[in-house]
Amino acid sequence: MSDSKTDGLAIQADSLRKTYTEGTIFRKRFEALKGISFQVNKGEAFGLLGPNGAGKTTFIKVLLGIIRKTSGNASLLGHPAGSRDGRRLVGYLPEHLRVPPHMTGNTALECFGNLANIPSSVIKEKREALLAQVGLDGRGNDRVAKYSKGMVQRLGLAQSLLNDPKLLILDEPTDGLDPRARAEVRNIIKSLTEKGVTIFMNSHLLQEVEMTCDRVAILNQGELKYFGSVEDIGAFVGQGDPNASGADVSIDVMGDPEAINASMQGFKFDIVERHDGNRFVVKVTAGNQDDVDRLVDSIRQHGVSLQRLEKRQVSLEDAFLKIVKEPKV
Amino acid sequence: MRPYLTLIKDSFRAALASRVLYVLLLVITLLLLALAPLHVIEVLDWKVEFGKNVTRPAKLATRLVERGENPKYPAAGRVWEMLDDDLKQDVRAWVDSMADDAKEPEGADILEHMATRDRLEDGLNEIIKDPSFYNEEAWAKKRLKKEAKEYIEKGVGRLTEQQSRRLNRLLMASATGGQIKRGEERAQELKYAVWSWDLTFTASKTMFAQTVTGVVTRVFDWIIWIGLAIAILVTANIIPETFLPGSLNLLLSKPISRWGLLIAKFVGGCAYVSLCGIYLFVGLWLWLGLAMGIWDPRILWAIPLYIVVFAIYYSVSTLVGVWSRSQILAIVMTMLFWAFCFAVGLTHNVVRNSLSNSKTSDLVAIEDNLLQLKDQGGLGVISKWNESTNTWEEALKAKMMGPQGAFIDFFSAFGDTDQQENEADGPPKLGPIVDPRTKQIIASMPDLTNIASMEYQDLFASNPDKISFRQIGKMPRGVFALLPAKEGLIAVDKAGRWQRLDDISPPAKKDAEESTGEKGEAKSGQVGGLLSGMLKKKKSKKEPFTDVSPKRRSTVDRGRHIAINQTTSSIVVKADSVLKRYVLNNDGRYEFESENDISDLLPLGVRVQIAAGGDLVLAALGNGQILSFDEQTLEHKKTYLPQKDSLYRTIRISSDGRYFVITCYNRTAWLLDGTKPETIAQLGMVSQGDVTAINFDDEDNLWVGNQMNVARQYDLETGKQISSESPKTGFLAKAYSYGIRPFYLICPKPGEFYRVVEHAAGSNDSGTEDGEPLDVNLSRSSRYNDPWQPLWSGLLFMAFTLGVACFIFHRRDF
Repeated sequence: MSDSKTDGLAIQADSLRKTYTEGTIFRKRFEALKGISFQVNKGEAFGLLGPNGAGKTTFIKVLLGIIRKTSGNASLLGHPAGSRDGRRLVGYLPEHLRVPPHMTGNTALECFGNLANIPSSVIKEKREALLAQVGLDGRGNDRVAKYSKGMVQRLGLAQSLLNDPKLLILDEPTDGLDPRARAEVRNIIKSLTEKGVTIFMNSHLLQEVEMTCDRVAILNQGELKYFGSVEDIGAFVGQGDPNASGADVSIDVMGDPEAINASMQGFKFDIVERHDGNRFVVKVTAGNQDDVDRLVDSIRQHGVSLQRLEKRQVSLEDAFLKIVKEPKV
Repeated sequence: MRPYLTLIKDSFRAALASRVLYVLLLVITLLLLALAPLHVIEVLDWKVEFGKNVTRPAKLATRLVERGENPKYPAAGRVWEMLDDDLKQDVRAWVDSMADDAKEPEGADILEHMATRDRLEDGLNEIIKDPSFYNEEAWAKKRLKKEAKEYIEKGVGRLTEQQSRRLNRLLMASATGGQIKRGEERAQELKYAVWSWDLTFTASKTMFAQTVTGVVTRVFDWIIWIGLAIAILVTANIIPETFLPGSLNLLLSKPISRWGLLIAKFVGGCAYVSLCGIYLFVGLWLWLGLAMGIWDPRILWAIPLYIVVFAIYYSVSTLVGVWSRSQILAIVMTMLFWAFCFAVGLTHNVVRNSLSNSKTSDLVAIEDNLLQLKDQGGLGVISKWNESTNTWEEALKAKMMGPQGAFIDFFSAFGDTDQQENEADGPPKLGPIVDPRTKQIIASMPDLTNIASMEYQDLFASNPDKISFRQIGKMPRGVFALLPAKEGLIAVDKAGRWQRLDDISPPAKKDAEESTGEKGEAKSGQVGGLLSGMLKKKKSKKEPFTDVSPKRRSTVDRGRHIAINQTTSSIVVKADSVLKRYVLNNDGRYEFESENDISDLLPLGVRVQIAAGGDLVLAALGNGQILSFDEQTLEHKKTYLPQKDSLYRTIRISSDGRYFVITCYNRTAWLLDGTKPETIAQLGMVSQGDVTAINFDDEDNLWVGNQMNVARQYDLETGKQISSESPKTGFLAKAYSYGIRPFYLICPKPGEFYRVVEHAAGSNDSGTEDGEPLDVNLSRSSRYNDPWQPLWSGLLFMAFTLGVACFIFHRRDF
């Protein structure tokens, strides 16, 4: 699987499909992944977004071999998805992690580390630092039964780091964490990225993804709707949509209405508000920075006073909502 | 391996964290603590116990009365004089009320005589306790045994209480002419803390150990079942919990194989039971060692075996857990499986016993006729082979009232006839047997329609060419064996009488009328008939038998302790540990010829079966050994050890005394060829392993019967099968052969693991091939044809179930 094309890739999915079949007599089929293709580069922080039932967790399970793909290809760090060699290099924090209540923090780390074939002696050397890193210092000997949901999540993050993974797959990593803990997790992710660890994160918290990830993929009903950088998502959202506003510019101008009209020729504009006689709030569509520069020049040429200019960015949340066409996430 | 060991280790952690485990360990601790004070001490065997070391109390009483005041018997006189006067009077009254040949009392006096009997037993024990019992003059003419001599030489006054009582017991045995058995020197006495039970075991320590081990494994079998039920409940959640998404996804993301994960979880679940099993059985082993003095490491066999039993159930729980991911369903299905196993085992045993109860237990082939004896609910049924219809046709059976037969058939289905080793159970099966003198086929059957006549079996005879049984009279009371002497069949009874059948003509008309009258009475009024029968002392009117007993009778009560040599007509008897040979004298009576004390060759309390033919006497022992003796001198010639797995059942000898064929309870047959006496070898034949009956025909060909009532004829010279008579099989037999039995074989039998434990703990392979006596009792191991079968079928089932569970786990998306 490993070749020059995949050398720099942490994850590669190519026409990946997964169809679930349920029932013994009356068999029902449900296509959870409908030919997904994208790549995650080594060393980047990548976010996988999508509404409930979009296929995000299915995609992660296919990567880790928890379920089998129906068709297509997927690889982890050059190894076939689900292979033991691939899993050896991965740290994984599942959604709704459940740690057996009879374990303590330390025994849980020892158990999960041993399962990854890490000797107990190595685990014992690492565990204090790891627990401190996730904010559980001094709680290693406490029974997990006494942990809060957030503490269990932190413990899960600690266990995922035991094997010094090359790729860290986090399924809702900040679920159940308070804002301060979320910030700590962000910091951990940032420091891991700096060390060259690839982060593949699946989260509902779009702000977290926006703040953490370089690139994202958005899934909806098993289909890949967007794959690219967070910055470019605004432009992507505008493509091919006659009603889309593209990169909107909001300006406050003052002057003769006719002069203002003349200065806007060649631009799509909309007078939103009129203040104090000759002062107007106008919304102009400018595709890129050149258009914005041309607009400013035209306004000055027609003797119109430019009092305020604000370039309005498309947020990830806006883009996400547009892509999945749902009112709420 | 590290990840899988981690899963097992985690299961241990879970077990330790579980309170249920502590409860189980506490229960086991309490059990062991309750058991701890039970211990055994070695004592000298001194106590007189009627029924145990006095087999015929009436005879003992008669002897005491007869010899007590006769100066010729000073030792008996010493016993008699020390008895209480009132007791002496009662004993005299008891003896007077009995028949001249020491028959048991009957009628209304029975209760009074029973009380006298008990008082006599107490009286004798009181004498034994008296240190002044020994009187040198009284025993001056007696040849005392070495043990008694040693005590006397030591000085009666210097003996301990136990030694004094033991000496007195030996003296009493000598004084009563063997009516009180000497008993074994050493005995084991059970005690609980400081309290002593009146329980002594006069077996060797090894046999005692085997008995205790057998009892303990049986008792603990029940405790283990309760423990297993709890363990199934406790461990049922382990597999389904693994399938909770938060647990399973993380486990499956680790670089481990799925089947390895499941097997590790399974093994880890077994840790619960392992911990409890090890604790229980090591505790038990320590108790047996410390308290009983039995340091038998084989009891530890129970640990892996009971873990396997649990593992069988747990594999079902695992399969259901993997398939359904439901803890409740796992428990319910496991319990249903438990019930299913029980039902399969019960159905198999009931059907097998039903068939087994109608299996061929003896064959008689003469001229062109073949007769079969079936053992049906403890009663014999004789059938003849009909060649034209390929069926066994009933020729003679016990007379029964209508529902009796149905009841016997029903209840016999719940008893395993293969386990019936006590020949005293049910009326003795006497015949069919060919009378060498008249060539008539002789058999006897009880008449169950008349309780009063039950102690006398009806005697029948049939011509060999045309099978049709006619009643020729009554068998004498108490007959338990028929010996085929050239001069005529000899009936052996418990009183030591040997009576030859001289007259096989039908009863006289008068007798027949009387007989009809009695039956008519019973038929017309059952209750009146029965009562009158009980109160009226009955006697066979017709006397077809002639007494040929030796003057000095030798009493035996087992058919296997007496044998006749058809070539010489000499009779060999094993009485206690002595082989005695009797020959015919000129008066036509038997007389004592020679004897040989073989106690050195017999392990303590071992079962012995003897046979005589040609120039050999064989003694098949309950430890697997077969000893051969010279027929004339009774000197020991050779010791064989053909097998050590099962008790011997029958020995049949060809009429020329060349072939000895020995069958075992495990349904194998072995051959000793008198011309090649070096070895005893297993017979090579189709029926091997399913032999239920053997006999020689009048041409000395061997007939072999099996459970399905097939009879096969073999020529032992060539070893080839000559003919085979296979009856049409009934529905039940077909259902058993092609349905129930195959299903039972593949079905796990966790409920039968006690067999494996008993076998592992009871059988002994320490026997030496050079003929050293083995202190082994095969009576337990002989019960089961293949004691390891439950283990193999259980392991196979477990492997299959786990294989299916692994397959589902491997293929399923989670």
